[in-house]
Amino acid sequence: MNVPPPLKNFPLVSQWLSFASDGGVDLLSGRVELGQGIATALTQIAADELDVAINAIRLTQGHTGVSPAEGPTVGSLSVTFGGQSIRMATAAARALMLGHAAELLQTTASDLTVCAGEIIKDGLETGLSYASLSADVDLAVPAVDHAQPKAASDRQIAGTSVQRVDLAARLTAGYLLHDMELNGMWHGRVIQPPALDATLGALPDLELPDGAQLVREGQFLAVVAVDEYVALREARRLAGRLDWQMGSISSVHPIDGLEADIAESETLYDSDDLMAGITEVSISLTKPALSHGSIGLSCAVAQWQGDALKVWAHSQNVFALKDSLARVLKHPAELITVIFAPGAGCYGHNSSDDVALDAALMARGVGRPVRALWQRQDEFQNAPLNPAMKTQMTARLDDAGRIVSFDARVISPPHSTRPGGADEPNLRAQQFLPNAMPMGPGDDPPQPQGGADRNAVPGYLIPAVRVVRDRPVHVPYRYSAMRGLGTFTNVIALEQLMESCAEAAGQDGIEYRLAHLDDPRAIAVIETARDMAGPWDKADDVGYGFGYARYKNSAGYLACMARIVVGDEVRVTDVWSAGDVGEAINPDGTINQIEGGIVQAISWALKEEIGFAGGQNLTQSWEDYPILKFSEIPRLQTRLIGPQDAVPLGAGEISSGPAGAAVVNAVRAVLGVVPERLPLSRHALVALLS
Amino acid sequence: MNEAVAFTLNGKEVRIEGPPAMPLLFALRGQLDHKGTRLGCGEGHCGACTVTLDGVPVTSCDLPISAIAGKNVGTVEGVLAADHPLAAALIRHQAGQCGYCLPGILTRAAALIDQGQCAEDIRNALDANLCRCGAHGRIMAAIREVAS
Repeated sequence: MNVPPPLKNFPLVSQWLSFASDGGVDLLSGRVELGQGIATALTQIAADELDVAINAIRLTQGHTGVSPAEGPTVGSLSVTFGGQSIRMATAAARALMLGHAAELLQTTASDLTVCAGEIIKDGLETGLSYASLSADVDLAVPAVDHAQPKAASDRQIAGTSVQRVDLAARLTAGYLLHDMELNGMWHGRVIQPPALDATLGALPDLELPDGAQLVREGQFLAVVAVDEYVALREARRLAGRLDWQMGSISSVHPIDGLEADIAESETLYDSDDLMAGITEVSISLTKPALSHGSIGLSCAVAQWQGDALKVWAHSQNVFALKDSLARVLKHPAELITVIFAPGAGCYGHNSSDDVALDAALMARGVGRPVRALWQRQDEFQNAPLNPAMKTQMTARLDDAGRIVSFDARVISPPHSTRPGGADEPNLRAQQFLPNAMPMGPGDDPPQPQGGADRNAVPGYLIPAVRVVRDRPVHVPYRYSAMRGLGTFTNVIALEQLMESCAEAAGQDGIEYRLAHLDDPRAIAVIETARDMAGPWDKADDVGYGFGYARYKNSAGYLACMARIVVGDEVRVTDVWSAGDVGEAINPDGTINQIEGGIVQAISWALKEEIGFAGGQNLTQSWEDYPILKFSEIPRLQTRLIGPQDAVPLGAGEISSGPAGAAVVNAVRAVLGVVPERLPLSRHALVALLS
Repeated sequence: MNEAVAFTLNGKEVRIEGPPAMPLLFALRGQLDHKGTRLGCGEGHCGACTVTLDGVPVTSCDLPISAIAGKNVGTVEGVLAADHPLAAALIRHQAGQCGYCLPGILTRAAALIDQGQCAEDIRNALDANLCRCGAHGRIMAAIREVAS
């Protein structure tokens, strides 16, 4: 087993777990539970290697005081890296405990087994247990020296669909950060500027009622009150009376402006010889800016005790948040503790870090603990958005119809402005404080992962490939990472291109893809999804479409077939999917993730768009930003066909590209035209047909 | 000016004080310490704050306390305390990811199940409740199991 990066950085068993005298196991992870089920998966891995019950594991996630600083919980890497680290650490812990027990029992460790934490010899309890030995065994030793994880066939808990460890608690009060109460805690609402470059005029006189206070530092404004409703009401009253001057960026349209002002053009991937073909096939696709759209609002609680600052946040990266807070507040990092607490579903870099700085500023301003919460309009207008982008792809075919060369141009802002990334704190309020720090321009992860260009390099066998990434200068909104980064747009463009090439070659689209693949796992998911869909029913308003991708060309494989009916709008009735994620720790949880990605992708493809007039963000509420509703959800059938003894490849982001592509290709099959803009809303259908 | 309002919460008489325009949600989460009901948008669009008012599902984030005097309010705490079979079914079906929307969905669907509505009608009624993680299919599977 390869040593995963987190375990290289935190090599000691004791950095990952300890045994308690009550029989519990205290497990530490830097990966956080964002709704994706990682707490359950990590618990399963540990319980399996240790031979203890699921409920013996007590997991602490994302606590800067105690957790291994694994970095961000992103990129479908939590099982691949974080889970494998825990697997090795817990396997090593078991070996160390059994080694010590063998000495005491004057036997060899191979004669001992563990059952529910009790150490067993010849089928009988020895009287020794993890609990009884917990004080005697030094776990501050390198895990790699002792770890021999179980063979896949010996696992009993990992690989099974146990119930989520946290779902019942999520139905009740008290589990979420949003429900947290501290003694003397007040509630705060920030007041957001109406555009990125708006500047505040004179502050009007505003009398606040008893139990409410204004916090102002430069252009940072917030109302904090003992009562949450009063904080909200007074913040709205004040916001309605403020005088803002707009700057010039407010006239740049996020889509129409994409090609007008290219700052940098970078060739990311370049074969020497882009051969000329007999036939040339091109695709162009534009996707608007999208909102994360978590149902919960961004929330944080901050408490100053003297110079010590404690912040509870539903951040994807508490470690970077701590350092970013230190830089913005000009406060020693060692006096700051950031503790992850669960929030609403997180699909990328949303405003969870921003609200943590807001809470810290408010708590400092009023000298009490403060729970800060954003408003729905803030989430649409002031949080980072998944950036608008445009992807153009061209393939050249030989006389047999095979693709001989390919080039792509991706025009997009960077897909990451995470706090701590590119050495920038990038917390919203930093730009409004008296010593204002401008927000950084952000950056993209380099190929082979890629950011805007993720999955723009085709996973098909093509002899010559070039990919160029163009970056616009003026972007009138905050942009950052959301589920799969550029994958959604790029896979839709590529899978439309494959359909167009197959048409030009006079071949079946799926056979054409298979002819450009030699990876048996890719071929297997494609054939399985095709077979799951069965024979197609034929009607003028019914269409089938296909999409396939291997995420990042190196992670999970997914193929989808979608069936749609087109009336006034596109209705997806069925999606059949086959995935290969290697080892699936919790197969039902993996399918839940894949299907959640499919639903989200259908919603993005058909409905979602942050509306702009020039550079002015017009999206204020869910009424302006419809997402897929209960009555619009298709039947989903999903199969995992990967080998359980293979390396886990991650699941959370593998389905959005293929599902989006399947839907768009189905629309194209019904309408007979190639869509060039998303979303394929009712309004867009009319435009396509005229 | 604050107003005192008396009403029934999950079968118990309660009395709160607050500005008449204050939405019920803030009273539930604040004075009444019933935090199972969640704030999602504050505009009645997402359904995360769904409660029942005299048995009818409504959003509580845009329902002023002045409108609930003497009425019966039911929250997710009441649904759970009654051991409604839908709660266990949701967990059995792993019918959620982050679960932020689930108390509102459980409250609405349990009320409609108890009224004898069929699963398809409940599905249409749940258009008032948004779920962003995409767990709709599992939630409906749990509802189909429990609805007659």
